[in-house]
Amino acid sequence: MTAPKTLEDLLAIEAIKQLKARYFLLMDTKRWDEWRDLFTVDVRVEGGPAHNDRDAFVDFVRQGLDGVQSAHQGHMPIIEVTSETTARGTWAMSDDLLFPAGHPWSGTLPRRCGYGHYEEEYRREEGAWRIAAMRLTRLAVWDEAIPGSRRAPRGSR
Amino acid sequence: MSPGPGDLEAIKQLKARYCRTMDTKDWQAMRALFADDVRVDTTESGGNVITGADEFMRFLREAIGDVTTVHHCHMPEIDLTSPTRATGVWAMEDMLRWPDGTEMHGYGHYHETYEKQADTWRIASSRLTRLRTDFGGDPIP
Repeated sequence: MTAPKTLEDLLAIEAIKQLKARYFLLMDTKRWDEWRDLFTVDVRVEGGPAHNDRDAFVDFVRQGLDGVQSAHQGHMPIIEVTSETTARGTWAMSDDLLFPAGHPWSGTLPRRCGYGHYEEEYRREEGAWRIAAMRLTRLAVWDEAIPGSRRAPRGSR
Repeated sequence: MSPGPGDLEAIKQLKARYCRTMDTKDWQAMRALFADDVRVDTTESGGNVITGADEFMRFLREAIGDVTTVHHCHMPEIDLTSPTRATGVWAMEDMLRWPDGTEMHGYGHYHETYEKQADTWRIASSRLTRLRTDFGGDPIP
C-alpha cells in the first residue's frame, strides 16, 4: 500500500472512520434523526432494494429494523481521499440480527448473522463528510441458533 | 509529511486488503500484497511454513479456494522500525464454512513484518497463532 501523502488526507481519513462509526452506533441505537444526517440528500444505496433518496432510504431501514435487536460492526477501512471534498472507501462488516416472531426479514431461525463489505463514496459538505454512495456485498448470510438457547434451564438437574 | 502516520495508515490498509482479497478470492490482487520472498507460518492452523509468495498463493487456493471465509482483523500494534521496515501484531477472528457443511470459528493473532519497496508497503513475513479454534457444522457423510 502507498501511504497517504498529506496530513490533510490523514485527517480526512480519520473523520470518515468516525462517520462510519456513527453510522453503526446510531443505527443500532435507533437514533434515526441523527442517522439521517450522515448521508447526502441524494445518497445512492445498492446491495438490497436500491435507493437514491435519503428520506426514503432512512424510512426503509427504520421500518426494517423496528423491533430487531441489531449489532452491526465495521472493520478494516481502506479509505482513499480523491479530492478536498470527495473520498471513497471499503469496509469489512458483520451484522447479527435478532428478529421478533414473524418479522419479514427473518429466516428459518430468529437470529441471522451476515458478513460482507461496504463499498462507499463520501462527500464533504460545508466541512462535514457524509456518505454519498453505499453498496453492500455479502460473503455469507447464515441463520444461527441463539447463543445459550440449547443450554439446559438452571436447576433442571 | 514526514514518515510515520501515513505509513501506519498504509500498513493498516495493506492488512485490510489481505483480508478482503482472501475472502473475495481475488488471488491476483492478494499476490501483490506480499514480498516475493515472504515467509508465512500457519503451523497452528493446520498449515506449515512456506517461503515465497507464489508458493503461498498456491497453498491458499488449494486450502480455501472453495471455502466461504470471513477474516476480520482488529487492534493493530504497528511499529515503524526504519523508513522501510515495520512490525505488526493484529488480533484476528475467522469463520469458515466448507462445501460439506463443516464450520470453523477461530480467534488468534497475526505476527507480521512489513517492508516498503518502491514506495509500496508489502507483507514480508506472517505467523498466525491461535487462541482458540472451534469446529462444528454437519458434514455430509
